[in-house]
Amino acid sequence: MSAAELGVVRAVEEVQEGLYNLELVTAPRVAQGSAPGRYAMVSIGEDTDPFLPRPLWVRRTGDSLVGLLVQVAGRGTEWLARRRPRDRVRFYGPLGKPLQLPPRTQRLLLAGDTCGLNCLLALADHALDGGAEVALVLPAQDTRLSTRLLPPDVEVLPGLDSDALQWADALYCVGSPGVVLGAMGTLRDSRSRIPAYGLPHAPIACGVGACYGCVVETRKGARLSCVDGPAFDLRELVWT
Amino acid sequence: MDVDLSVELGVGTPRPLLLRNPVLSAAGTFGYGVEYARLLPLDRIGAVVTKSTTLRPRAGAPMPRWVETPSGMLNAIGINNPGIDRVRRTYAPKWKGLGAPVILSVAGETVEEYIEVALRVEEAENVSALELNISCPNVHEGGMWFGTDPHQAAGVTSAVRAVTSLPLIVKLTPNVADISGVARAVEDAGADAVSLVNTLTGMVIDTASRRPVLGNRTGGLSGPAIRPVAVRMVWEVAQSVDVPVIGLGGITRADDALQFIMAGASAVQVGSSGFGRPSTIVEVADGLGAWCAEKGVSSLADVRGCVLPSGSRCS
Ligand SMILES: Cc1cc2nc3c(=O)[nH]c(=O)nc-3n(C[C@H](O)[C@H](O)[C@H](O)COP(=O)(O)O)c2cc1C
Ligand code: FES
Repeated sequence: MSAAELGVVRAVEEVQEGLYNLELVTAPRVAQGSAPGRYAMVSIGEDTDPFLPRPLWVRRTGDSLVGLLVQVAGRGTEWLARRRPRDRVRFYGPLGKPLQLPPRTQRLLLAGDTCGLNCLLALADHALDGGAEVALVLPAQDTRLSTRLLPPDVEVLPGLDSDALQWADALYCVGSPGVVLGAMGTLRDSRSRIPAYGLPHAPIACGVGACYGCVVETRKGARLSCVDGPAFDLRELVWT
Repeated sequence: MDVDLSVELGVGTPRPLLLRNPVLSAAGTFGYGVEYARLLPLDRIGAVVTKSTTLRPRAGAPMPRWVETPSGMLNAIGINNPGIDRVRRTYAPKWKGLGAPVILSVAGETVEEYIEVALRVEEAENVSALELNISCPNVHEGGMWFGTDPHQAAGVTSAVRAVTSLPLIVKLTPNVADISGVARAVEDAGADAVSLVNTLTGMVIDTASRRPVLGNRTGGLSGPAIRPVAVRMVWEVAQSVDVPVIGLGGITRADDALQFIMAGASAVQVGSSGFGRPSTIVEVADGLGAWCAEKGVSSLADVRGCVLPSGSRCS
């Protein structure tokens, strides 16, 4: 990993309203380092305004290709959505601990929203490669997402419920704190005992554990999402 | 041509610190240095200034702890840190191979806490200087910041001076009417250098929820938005003290650093612009060397304070 990476936009596709898939040509080390659970800190514009980079999940799509999935939510994401082929995007990373699926995962249940989707897709790629079955729970309005984005073998479900939890032998939930909170509740009510992880979006400013800005509370105490996470035991997250 | 960028802090003290160049990290934006060791060539910067560290671990402020602002950010981290003992155990041994000397930033809520933490630093390995963060509420004085009152600022400075043999930098807050008065007070109390500015107090309100965005309600503004204020304050302080002045606030490139140097700074610190671009600090250091070479300037001393009124103390 280097402190200054460059991606050249190969393609931009609006996969549903406000959700953009950006394919970047990068140095091979970036694609190789883009394991599920890892993210890049992407600079917006060339000036000092907007000032801070946007953390975005990276999904490896080729030997020197990574995909970013940008849900437009403000100035930074709008700027990214307006990139065109051959534009340059500056970033650093990938950062964060790669996710490790529990050993012998056969039926992986994924849940989240469009902000967490790229991480879920990277995880789905990984699980499918390992021969597991994958089901993905998305909010109702997102269940018709472009099939070019979703691997064909992934079954899309409209809601997280105890049936889905019964089927699965591991759960990952990635997205806004609200979505992760919802999954915590469903998991608790179902009394399911499968390994379950939550990746709540935290405000990442530095990405390396230097600023203490991304605290996530767990039953074992405060943790830094950027270096101790991004995945936390879903049963140990504490909402403050 | 040969360019000499080195600067010395704590000249005449038992343990003077010679820096290879005048570009340092800013406290709280660079962790304990080791976080960036694999990402950056730290042997090309002057020194690492650490996260402000207190006697005991501190949990810090409620979330959210920062929000982006125009050309800057507002933060209230609340000096979340592992405490001096853990810092000595986990980070200090790693500082030996870091590539840059480490200046430990320390903070406290009472003068006694500052003294105790300084004493423990005195016994720590691989620490080259102390920076006192005095933008902290003094719990014995109704929570008024040490750094906003010249008497309190001088009091904590002389108390730490008495127990440390390390070069002592005192970091000044800009949230005062007369920053030169505070600078003179800490110089008289034994500071070997002053650094400025810490963040400017501010607030951002979310009009949808009708509440301040930060968990702490108020926070400190940093980034290019504050740079002109910081340059002006360095220019004022450089006219008022003899000790070296370290300038910071919104430095994003070598040209920004030069503004501080021309205003009278002997060294600079790079803070929040490293979040967007971690290599900023290295690029500023390299850029100062390149600028000198291009302009035929053999030392930054040739331009230091060049905009100060003639006859002022720093020339
Ligand atoms: C996230 C964050 C945390 C900070 N923590 C500290 C701290 O612990 N101690 C301190 O003296 N200053 C702290 N500062 C202030 C910076 O060291 C610096 O004075 C200020 O950000 C202005 O410089 P900049 O514009 O280059 O960031 C912090 C700043 C930020 C943005
Ligand atoms: S984002 Fe800075 S510590 Fe996590």
